[in-house]
Amino acid sequence: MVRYVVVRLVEALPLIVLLSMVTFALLTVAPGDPAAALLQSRAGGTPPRPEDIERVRHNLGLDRPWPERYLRWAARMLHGDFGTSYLKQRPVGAVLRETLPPTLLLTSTALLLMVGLALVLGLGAGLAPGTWLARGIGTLVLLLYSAPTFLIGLLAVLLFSVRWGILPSSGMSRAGAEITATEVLRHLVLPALVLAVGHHLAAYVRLVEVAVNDVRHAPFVQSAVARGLPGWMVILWYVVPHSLPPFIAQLGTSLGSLVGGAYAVEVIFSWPGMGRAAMQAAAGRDYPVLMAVVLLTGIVVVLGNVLADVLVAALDPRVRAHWASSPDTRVQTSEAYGANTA
Amino acid sequence: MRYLTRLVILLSILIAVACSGGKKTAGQPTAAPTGTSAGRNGGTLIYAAESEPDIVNPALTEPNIPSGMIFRGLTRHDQNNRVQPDLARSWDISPDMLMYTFKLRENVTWHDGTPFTAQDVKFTIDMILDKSSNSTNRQYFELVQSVDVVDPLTVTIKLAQPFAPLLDKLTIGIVPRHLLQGKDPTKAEFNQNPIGTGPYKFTEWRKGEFMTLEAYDKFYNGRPKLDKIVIKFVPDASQRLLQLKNGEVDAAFLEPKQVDQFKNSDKVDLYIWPTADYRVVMFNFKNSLFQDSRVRIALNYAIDRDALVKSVLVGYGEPAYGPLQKSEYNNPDVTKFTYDPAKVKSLMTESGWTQGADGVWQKDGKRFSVTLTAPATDPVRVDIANVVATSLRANGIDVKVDPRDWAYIRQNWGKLDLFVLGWGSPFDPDDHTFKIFHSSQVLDKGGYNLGSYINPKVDRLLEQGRTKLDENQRKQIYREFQKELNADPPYIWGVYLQAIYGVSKKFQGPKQRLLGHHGSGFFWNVEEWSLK
Repeated sequence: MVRYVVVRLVEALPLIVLLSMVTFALLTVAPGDPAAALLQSRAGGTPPRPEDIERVRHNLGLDRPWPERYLRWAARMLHGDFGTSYLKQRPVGAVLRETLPPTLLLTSTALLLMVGLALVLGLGAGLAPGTWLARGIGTLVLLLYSAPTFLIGLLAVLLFSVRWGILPSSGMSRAGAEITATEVLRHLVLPALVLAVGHHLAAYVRLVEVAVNDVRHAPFVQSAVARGLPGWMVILWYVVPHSLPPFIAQLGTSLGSLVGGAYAVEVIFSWPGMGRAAMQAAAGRDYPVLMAVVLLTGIVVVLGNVLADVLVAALDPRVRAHWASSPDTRVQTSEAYGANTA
Repeated sequence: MRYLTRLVILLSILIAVACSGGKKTAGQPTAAPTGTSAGRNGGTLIYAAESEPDIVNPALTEPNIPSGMIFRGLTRHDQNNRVQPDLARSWDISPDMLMYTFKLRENVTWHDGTPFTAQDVKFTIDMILDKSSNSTNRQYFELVQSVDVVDPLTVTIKLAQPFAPLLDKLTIGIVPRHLLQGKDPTKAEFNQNPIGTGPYKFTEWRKGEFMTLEAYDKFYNGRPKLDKIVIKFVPDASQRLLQLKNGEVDAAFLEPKQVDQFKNSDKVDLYIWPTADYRVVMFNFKNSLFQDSRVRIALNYAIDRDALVKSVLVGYGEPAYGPLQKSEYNNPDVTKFTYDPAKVKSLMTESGWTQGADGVWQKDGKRFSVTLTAPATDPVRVDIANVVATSLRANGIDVKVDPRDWAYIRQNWGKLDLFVLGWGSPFDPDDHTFKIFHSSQVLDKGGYNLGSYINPKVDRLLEQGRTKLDENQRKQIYREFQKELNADPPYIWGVYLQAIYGVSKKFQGPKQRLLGHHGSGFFWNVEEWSLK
């Protein structure tokens, strides 16, 4: 098992390096000039003079060839230095330290909410197939699945903030006031909920529903029922665990889109996280910040995948056995379960 | 970007839907009452700002809202945008206009308690001129030869050439030497924790959320009345509207289309003020089509500016006929172009163009076909481009509208045909004229004359304008300049914008002044604002 984890992690390394190279190359060929963007942003939108652009390009080292810039960047990265933001002219590390915690708070809350909702709705639909309840759940999640995140977000703001005035519409705390846990929670509800339901909730509900349907009549469940165990115990003990592996595999592979969804939600709700920082950095051609955010996101996605595979292996004896018997024919679990985000 | 645009449109629709059913009253917007009573001290004002600055350092950036409250300059603009003493008590100018001697105000302190001295003035201007500081303000001080400290309260500025707008430029905020000396100004921690001499001192900046300023007790002109100002960063226009409506913020910059929401509001006062901010269509003189001034004048007659104001600005603006129209240096007697298709026809015919079977003007087998570029991120400019294009097409010009992002535009100035441009300064008449119309400032020389407009008479007048101190003489010069400009137009004149702010009725104090680009300058007298 340990070997499995180590191998998966080592495999991920070249992927990260490749990601950094591709991102750097893309940013280099993308239109836009960081020096010009910096000057225009400082001048309140007035386009900069060509003369000033040249001066700032030189000061930022942008007049050097890109392979040299990449190597310099990589060398600094290996020393744990993310460089300096062009726009904010502060260490990128400091920007990440400010923006990463809100993003982690938002995504992890959303993830918990989503898992909880998917289990409840999936069980509800799976245990009572063909009833109005199952059909209702199916329709609801299909609607949520089809609507883009920003639409759900705006509707939520419209209802909860404008119509009923019970939840704040944006930000992470009250402007000008001390940060308190209750305030942060109040501000967290809408974005986390929107991210949770807007992000493939339907797929997870379906996964749970199908798995429940599959195992409901399986002999071991029947035998548990026959032994006279109460219904809730059968569900918690026998049904739920068997519906989990495909669910977790799916989570791992689509972690990337969850983070991507978080970025959209952060913009809608003015959540001071990494996604908003990345959007600003993209608009302002702030390459050091962009590189760091892309790389960090990449690492999170890769780690998420590894973690999901490990969890699935831990939950499913078949995968464990497969791996133990022959590493070469091991099943890529996410593929094995046909995780399909579609 | 498209995603964001869609988002904005959607939110606007949703809000319109949510708010329909509310009362709708027609009528002219009322100018908000300017508080005359003394007002109460205390209170916190939360302002919803469109953008968050990356750094707060007036030496390195154009003024922004926090830097205007935290910092003060040697001089300052009053309600009429005229230069008044501020950190400088008085000044002397040598007869050759090359040497300025400033006497500084005594007993001015930085927010950390350190006294303000002449050293700070020298340090600030030197920093702006330092090529490695990336300052956007270098252009304003390029004629400064040296800044010298005579004694702690006297400083001299020596110029290479006479430069009448120097006092105007010295409204720029002075930064403290004792906190920045020996540091790389581009990376200084100071830029995130600014300390100035202004009425409000910086207390907190929660990145991505808001910045908090507090009244500075020892402000030389007396403690400001409001205890606290919170600048909340709300980039989305619909979010600003919503938060002003439900009281999450006390003040916000509004879009023309949002005004209806606050007419006859019992919670919010509207301040609809004029600005010097204009939108025009720039000719690129690198294109041979625009060499003949008759053609450019014809195009000026092909635009219905009243319609532009009505449709794009929802009435919050006025037709433009010159770059100094809102200034005291305005010449109201210049040619004012109106919509006149007959004149378009006669001028085009006069300059040798004939209308082809498709109605488009032709000359030597060449059709009058041009592209009109606009920054895609600026909806007002894209709207202007569309309305102007429709009008031009009706007058025989084949126009294609081409919204582009700024990155593309900045790299292709020289290749554009027509561009929806914005300039206009409420301050010295040299500001936003010399740098955009003088031939020494053309694009290829690295300047702001982006359309490469060259007119020797305009050059001469602009040079005279910046080297004379006498106000009447200058007025004469700039009047002449405006006349010449419309005889040989650099632009298709478009519209002047109005700025609209909504402020909670709990507060009083905003005093009307001609504002700058994007309504900048609304907080010019913030130290006088108070609770009602």
